[in-house]
Amino acid sequence: MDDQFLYRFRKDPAPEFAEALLQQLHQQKQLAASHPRRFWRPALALSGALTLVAVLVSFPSVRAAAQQFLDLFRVQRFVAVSIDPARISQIEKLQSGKLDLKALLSRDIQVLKEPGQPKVFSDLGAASQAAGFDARLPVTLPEGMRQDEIRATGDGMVRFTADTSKLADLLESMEITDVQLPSQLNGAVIDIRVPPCVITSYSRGKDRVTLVQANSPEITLPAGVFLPQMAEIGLRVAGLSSEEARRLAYSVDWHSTLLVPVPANAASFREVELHGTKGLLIETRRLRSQEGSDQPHGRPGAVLLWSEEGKVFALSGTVLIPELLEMANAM
Amino acid sequence: MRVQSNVLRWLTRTAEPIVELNWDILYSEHLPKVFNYFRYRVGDGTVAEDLTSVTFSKAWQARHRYRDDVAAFSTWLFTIARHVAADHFRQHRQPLPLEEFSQHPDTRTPEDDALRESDFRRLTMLLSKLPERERELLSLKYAAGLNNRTIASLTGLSESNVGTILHRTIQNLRTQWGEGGPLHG
Repeated sequence: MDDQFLYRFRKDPAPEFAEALLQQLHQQKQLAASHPRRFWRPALALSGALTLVAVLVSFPSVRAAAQQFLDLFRVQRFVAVSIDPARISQIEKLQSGKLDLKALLSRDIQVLKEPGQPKVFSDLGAASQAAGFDARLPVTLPEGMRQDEIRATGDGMVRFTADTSKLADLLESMEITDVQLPSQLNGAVIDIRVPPCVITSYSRGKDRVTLVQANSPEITLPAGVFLPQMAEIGLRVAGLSSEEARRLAYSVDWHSTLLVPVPANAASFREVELHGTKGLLIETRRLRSQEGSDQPHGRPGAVLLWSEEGKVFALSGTVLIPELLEMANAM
Repeated sequence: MRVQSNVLRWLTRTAEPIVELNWDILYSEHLPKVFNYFRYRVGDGTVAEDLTSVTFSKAWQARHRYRDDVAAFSTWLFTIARHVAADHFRQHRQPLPLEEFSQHPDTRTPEDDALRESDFRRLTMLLSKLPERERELLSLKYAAGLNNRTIASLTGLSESNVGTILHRTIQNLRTQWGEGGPLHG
């Protein structure tokens, strides 16, 4: 079949059009790049707030009707969601430059039990005993890497009361008008048990690696909140379009999935195989060979998250990705 | 939560702004493909340029959602382009009337390309008579230059189905073309 005639009608766009469009895109880039240094602090706060939202939506709704409280949330899977930096800037502006999303989600936050400062332990056994679970360490380390310190934190308990009026204000300010806040959420008391953690530090020259492990957190939430609906709201606040937010909200098992917000202009992420399970690898795209240069924003790095046998693990550092995976696989 | 806050603290501590997509290179490479995709969908003229602009603008705004481990850039970009086209047709209810194709002047075309321009107007007339799916596949294949596998991933059709539909459509197109006289150029 001769189909070549169909190719022949292609033509290049007019140069003036191509140039004008390119200029327009560059203007968009310059606008987006106008606040580069303001990003990380808001990103941190936003991440924390979104984690809170993720926690809120991490419970089954079906059994809620029959139970006063839902049973334990256990992380079995991490799912990354990309957060638009423009949205972060927008939220920051709405709060007169001071971002405090925590205050937007709750009017009353009580620390029922302080986890306390991490304590240094001489060996893993002692740290495990203090934390109340059997912690693990890599049996081999990348060449030149050494273990510096093992610390453990105690458990804690936080209770907060959801305030939908503040969230409604936020949505209105963001001109998100096509979502509805569940009325059951208003005034709902949410308890979060902060699990004890074992934290191990490693170093090699300027490279730093930290391993955190803990039992899956426990959270109780009053019945009646439809979780996908809450997830959708959280994802919209994060900057996802209505279609994306709805698709994700109704396709994720919120009983076992922890949403990890990833600043879009900061990192990329992908799924990796670890110990027969799926892990989430979040990494920068900057090449490590650039470390020696005078980079204004510090060093690149990566975070590896996975869950195994009721425990959650986070391995993060400024080493090469294969080295990070090597450490995780050696556990 | 301690674990999560620790994780997120590290994330923000270690993560760096990514090396952005080389936008200018991607733009140069894909602009003609997207532009021609719209030309084959809506004909020559400012509409194709407008839709091309909208596509690149949307792509830029959504660039942080592009994942190179999931799809090639062209696949991602043409997903946006297809949505832009769908929006356009939804807003206009009907594809452009045939008269617009046949009478639309293209003032930028050099005189020595006049014959080809005439053929293209004739082609767009024939394309406008095709069912939506067939016209879409032809545009992705011959205007955007995408292969059948990429088209399959964009449209949800199987690769073999794409090939079959294209084959049948081109045969029909050639027949109709022949009825109107020989092909120039």
